[in-house]
Amino acid sequence: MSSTPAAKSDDDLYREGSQYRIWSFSQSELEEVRRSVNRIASEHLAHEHQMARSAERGGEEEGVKIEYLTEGEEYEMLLHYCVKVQDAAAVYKLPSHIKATAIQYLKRFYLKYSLMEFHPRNIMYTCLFLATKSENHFISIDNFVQPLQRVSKQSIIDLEFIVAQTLSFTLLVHHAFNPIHGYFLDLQSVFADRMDEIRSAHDRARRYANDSLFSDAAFLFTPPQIALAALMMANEGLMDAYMDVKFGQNAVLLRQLKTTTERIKSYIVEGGKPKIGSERALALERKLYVCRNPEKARKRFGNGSSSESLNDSAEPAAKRVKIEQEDTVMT
Amino acid sequence: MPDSGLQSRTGTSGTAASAAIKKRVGKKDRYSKDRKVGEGTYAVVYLGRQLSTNRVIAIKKIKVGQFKDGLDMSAIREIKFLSELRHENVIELIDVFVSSGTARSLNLVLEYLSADLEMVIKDRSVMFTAADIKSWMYMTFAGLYYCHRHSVLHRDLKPNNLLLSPTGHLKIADFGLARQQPGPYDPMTPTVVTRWYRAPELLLGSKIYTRKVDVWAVGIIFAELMLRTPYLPGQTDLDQLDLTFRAFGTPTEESWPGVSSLPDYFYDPEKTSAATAASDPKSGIYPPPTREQMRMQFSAASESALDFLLKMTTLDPAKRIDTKECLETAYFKEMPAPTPPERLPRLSAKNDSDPHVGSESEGVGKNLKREKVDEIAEREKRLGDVAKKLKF
Repeated sequence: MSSTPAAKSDDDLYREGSQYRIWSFSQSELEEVRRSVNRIASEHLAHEHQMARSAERGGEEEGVKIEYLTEGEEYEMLLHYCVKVQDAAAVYKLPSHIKATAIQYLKRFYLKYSLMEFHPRNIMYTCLFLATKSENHFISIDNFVQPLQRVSKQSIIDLEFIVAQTLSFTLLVHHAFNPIHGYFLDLQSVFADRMDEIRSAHDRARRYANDSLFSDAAFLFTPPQIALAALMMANEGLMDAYMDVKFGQNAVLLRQLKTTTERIKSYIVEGGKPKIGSERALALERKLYVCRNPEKARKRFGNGSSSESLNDSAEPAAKRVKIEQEDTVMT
Repeated sequence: MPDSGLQSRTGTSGTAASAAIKKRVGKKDRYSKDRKVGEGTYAVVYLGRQLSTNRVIAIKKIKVGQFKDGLDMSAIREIKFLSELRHENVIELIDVFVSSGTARSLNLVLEYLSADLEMVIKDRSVMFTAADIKSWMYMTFAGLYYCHRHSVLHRDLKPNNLLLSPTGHLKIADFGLARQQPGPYDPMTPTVVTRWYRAPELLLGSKIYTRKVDVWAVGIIFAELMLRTPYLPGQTDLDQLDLTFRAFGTPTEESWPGVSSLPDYFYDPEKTSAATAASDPKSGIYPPPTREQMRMQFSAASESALDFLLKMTTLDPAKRIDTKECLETAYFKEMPAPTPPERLPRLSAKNDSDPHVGSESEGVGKNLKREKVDEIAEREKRLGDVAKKLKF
């Protein structure tokens, strides 16, 4: 009974939450995390492939060097799969915040594991399935897999545990959409005569917030900061006036906000750019396949220089199922 | 004994990756399961210890195998919210782990709590004072205010979800129905909250509602603490509505603007006026209680305790007070001061043995037969006479 309940600010509350405690980084921390995940996975795989080869060939070294994905390539593929989450979310007509939660689960998952350890195809559907549940939008597993062609119910159910555990069971994700709505309401009370302008800024800002999902903004900034940056991009004049009204008395804070929103803008712009094309995606998929399954890849493609397509959908169905199973039992 | 590690599997990169999982996800603490203390439809509760600290804990083991849709929604809600909430009046989620083996299950490690408020209310050998009630109410609102500031609606407050620690601290538990306050136009299901504690907007089928549904529930719990018996023990949803309006008056467009457009509002708005209520006692339209009636019913309550009760149970949710206002109310400022937790009354020893982690293994069902069936039938009939449409 000692606590005075009103003493905590909203910022204090945010800092108590898991999004700040566990899932916020500086740019250099984030890079370090990804570098280390990539290095550990490459080393593990190299070691295992080496062991497998020695066992098979009685210690005789083949001299074939497997190319593992670099951290940059992993990131390219990750964003490619974030777009796939967005496409899949559209199939189920999911609201923006559920899609955003699923994308954030996916990005968080790959701060713990490499794409070489868990294939992103199965993980992305699992993230989406888990997001529908944690956001109170239940879809039964039967209905969920119904529109999917290459994903089994069991693979999603099996991975759900692993994904939830990898996320340290922190399932609550804050997005910029709610703060945008908050600013939207406040803007109306400050500038009652600029309704049309405010409404269109709100709509555009939501699209910028959506673009930010395809960047690291959510790991580096808070949702209200991202919301403010999105609104600034949507209508700078309006927001300058608004910020003058709100924070004009506090020049230091105002300058800080402007600096932060400028930084966020570059992430939003980056996130809004088109992601890798199908050719590049295919090349990366192939490289991923080889480093996950070097023996099979060698049998199928020879020592690395075949031009045979690795598009999974071109394979016979039976084989496809098998690859899928291998992907899920990777661990 | 549960194993918090993942199953080791065979595959292209077998054990090494499995070891990597343990390493990176973090090797969790280990726990003993000493004995089973409760079983519900979706969980079994064990009393156990955290082996590294010897701390007594409760393990809520959620049976996952039987759910074909993977992790259960209630479990997901509970984990999602309890992972974020850290407050001395909210149950602490210490850990979550997955046990492997033939039937994989999800285990919530919760702090050990020896009793709940329902047990205290029912234990006739326990005496408690106005200061004790104030202490429980304050702790409830401190915890609830914290949840509400995090935009979390509990949606199932009732005495057996308010748990009591061995040191007398009250903790809000069972977040299996909780959710975040959605946007202003996103509908939610009105079929939440155990019936006796369900706010009128829910009884009337409103799909747009707020944190105020929790305040209503605490208001009814407050009345129950003073009366030491459930205040509005409705047998059916319709009966609950009748009891609620008998206690606080039938809402009218004047007292609650917009009430007549709620989905399950079946009164004729023309007739639900204070005048009808006063002139025709058989109409099924009730006038709001007079102050004198409230004083008679809650004879031990102070004037500010009555004010507080009426503010928490204001029918129109827009006019009902929020948790911040509750904490600032005169009731908490006047004498007597709340009893310090450690000096609050305890259960008699025979009842104080098993840990509680929410309503899962207990139920209000056993109380439901308390009232005579014909009384309810009569109330329902009266209500049926004024019904325009019945959508229950």
